[in-house]
Amino acid sequence: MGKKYNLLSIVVIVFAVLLITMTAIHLTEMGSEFPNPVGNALNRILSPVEEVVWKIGDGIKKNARAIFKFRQVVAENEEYRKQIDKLKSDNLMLKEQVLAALRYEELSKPFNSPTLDKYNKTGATIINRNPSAWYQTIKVNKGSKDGVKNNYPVVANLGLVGKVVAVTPTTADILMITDTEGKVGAMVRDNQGKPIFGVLSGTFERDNRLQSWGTLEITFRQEDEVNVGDLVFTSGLGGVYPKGIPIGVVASIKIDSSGIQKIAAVDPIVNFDTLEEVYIINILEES
Amino acid sequence: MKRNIVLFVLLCLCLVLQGTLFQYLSIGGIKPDLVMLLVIYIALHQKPLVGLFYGFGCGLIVDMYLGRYIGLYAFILAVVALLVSFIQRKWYRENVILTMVLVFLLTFLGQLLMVLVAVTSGLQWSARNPFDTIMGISFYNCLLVPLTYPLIHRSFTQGILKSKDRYEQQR
Repeated sequence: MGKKYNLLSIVVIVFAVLLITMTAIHLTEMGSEFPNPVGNALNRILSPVEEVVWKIGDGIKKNARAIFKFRQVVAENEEYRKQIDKLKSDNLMLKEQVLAALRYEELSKPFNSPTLDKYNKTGATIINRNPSAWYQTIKVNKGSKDGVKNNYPVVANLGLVGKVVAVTPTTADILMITDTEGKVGAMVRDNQGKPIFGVLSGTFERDNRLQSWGTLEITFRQEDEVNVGDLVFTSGLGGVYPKGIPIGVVASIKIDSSGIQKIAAVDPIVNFDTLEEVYIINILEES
Repeated sequence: MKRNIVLFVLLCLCLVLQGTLFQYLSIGGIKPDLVMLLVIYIALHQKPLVGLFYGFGCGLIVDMYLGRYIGLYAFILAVVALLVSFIQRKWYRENVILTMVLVFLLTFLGQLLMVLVAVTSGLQWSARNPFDTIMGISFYNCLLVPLTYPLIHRSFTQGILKSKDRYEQQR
């Protein structure tokens, strides 16, 4: 320093530097956009390192907390467990209530299924019930003249009834799903909305008509999350029944004798005893 | 060249640790200003104009890394570096305690300047009491000196960071 610099030039330089700096700061405020290749490159290189250090730090922090405040963590754990149990039971209760409401709605109005709306439906009246010792069937007043064919699904206002098993020109025999022969690909949604598939079959057996255990049952795997009150729909698998027709409500669940499977008894939505009118769905023709 | 690469790596390390490790080691939300600490260390071992250059360079890299307020760190660190390189000619660099005092004062000055420049440039900074923050940063930086300075100083005088010009011998 000293003689070489005069005061004026220093003042001018300092002023100019300040001005440039402040202008630059102002132009590159947060949220403003400007080309910054060096910064981008630097961030690209350093971010993986930062991520690693961050993760390590995070891990250390969490573990250190668990070690130093072990008692507190244990107490918290205990508390949370209690809360979880309580919430679980609350959840179950709510779910049952919701399902009851759903069921009520389901029972009080005809169900509406986009899948079914695609097909032509033929209304038919039941003219004969034949709950013989062998098959649970009903006879209706529509036959091949009306376009009814074997294996056409049959629904009532509220849900699935069965499928056509025999056709004459003027009548058709319908095997109800309560018969052991009338197997249906069924589906229950668990609490995450994930479908659980099973095969629903009737429990009407020729040799044992006195079953206390409902009229329908589905077999699930042990680990499937099925609860009492869940609605059962057709799954659309198997080819005969379209997807999404309501079948019934899970009434009770038991573990089978092998311990591998769960069997859920299903209360049908349709009251088969008072059934008078049904729709036969022409699944071969889309309307 | 090798020296500059090492310094650049150190700078990157400072940037990374500042946002990660020291996030966990922050006391009441206050973190040290590692880059300023590094620039003070560098300037302690440079001629004034070279120190100014290093301060400005490091500051510009930090600004670009942060991607906003380009020029803020560059200006502050240049000023701090210039001051440090003037002071170091009459300062006992080997003494850790004195270096702690120097770091405390210079960090305080630098942070104060930063707030002033930021406010003057019309930036809306957080409503936290700036004096507390500045004191906190300066104190934290000062605490880091005993841990880091001996190593850096040895590296600058004997190790990989030793500069080749004759300035160091003449000093």
